[in-house]
Amino acid sequence: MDPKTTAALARTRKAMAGTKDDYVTVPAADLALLAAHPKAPEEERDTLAEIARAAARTIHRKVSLHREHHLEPLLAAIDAPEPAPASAEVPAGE
Amino acid sequence: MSNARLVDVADGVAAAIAATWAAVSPDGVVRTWPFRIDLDQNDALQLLRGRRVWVLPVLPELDPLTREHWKNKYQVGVLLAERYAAEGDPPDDWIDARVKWWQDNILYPLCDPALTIAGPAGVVTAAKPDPGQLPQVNEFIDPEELIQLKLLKISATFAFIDASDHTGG
Repeated sequence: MDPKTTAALARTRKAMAGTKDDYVTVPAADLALLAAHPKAPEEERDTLAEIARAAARTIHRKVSLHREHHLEPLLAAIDAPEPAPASAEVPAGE
Repeated sequence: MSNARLVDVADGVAAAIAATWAAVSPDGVVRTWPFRIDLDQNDALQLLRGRRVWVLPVLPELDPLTREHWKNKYQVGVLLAERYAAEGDPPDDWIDARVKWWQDNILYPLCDPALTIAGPAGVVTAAKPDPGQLPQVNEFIDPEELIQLKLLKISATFAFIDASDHTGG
């Protein structure tokens, strides 16, 4: 993971730990980085990217995201271990 | 269909809130008229689900700017309401979190001098928070409603002015 995405991930985790509210405020730029992560859920990627773009046009460039609906699934997908590479099959008889 | 400027500004305020709040149903922000909201009925608990923000056109006003020019002013109300859905009384940390959210997503952004409420397509004039009038908090967590209806309500009125002062500025 590149350093910017790693930093965005750390900031998001800190923001989530800092409130008990259902909504957590994160910088739009951080959301854009996380939404573009290759392990981000494919079905949510466009939605999150669009939310990030809209928030980036506001004066504070921050967005209030739902913890259970948006953030936890996103972070869980990014944290998920890489699938094990398929082992090279040795053709039978060789 | 073109709207009154007051309604345009209220629509713009609702859009500004929606841009910074990725609300998940049944939460959400809606621009409506004050008389459409009735949370005082006994069945308020049944009516309200989620965190709801209503943006309300309140009052168009004119303030004299000079002897010849006027400052167009638009009062827009914003009402936050959320019901505590779990068992028992709303705990302090639940209330704390909602007040912080309201401060960070409604109160401070809507009076930030850098905020510009864009007009609808075709309307050039944008609106800005009136630097001469701070937001007025009209209702801040009625203890009776909080305990009896488990309903947290905060309402405030924000004043916006046309970004142009109509004197060429």
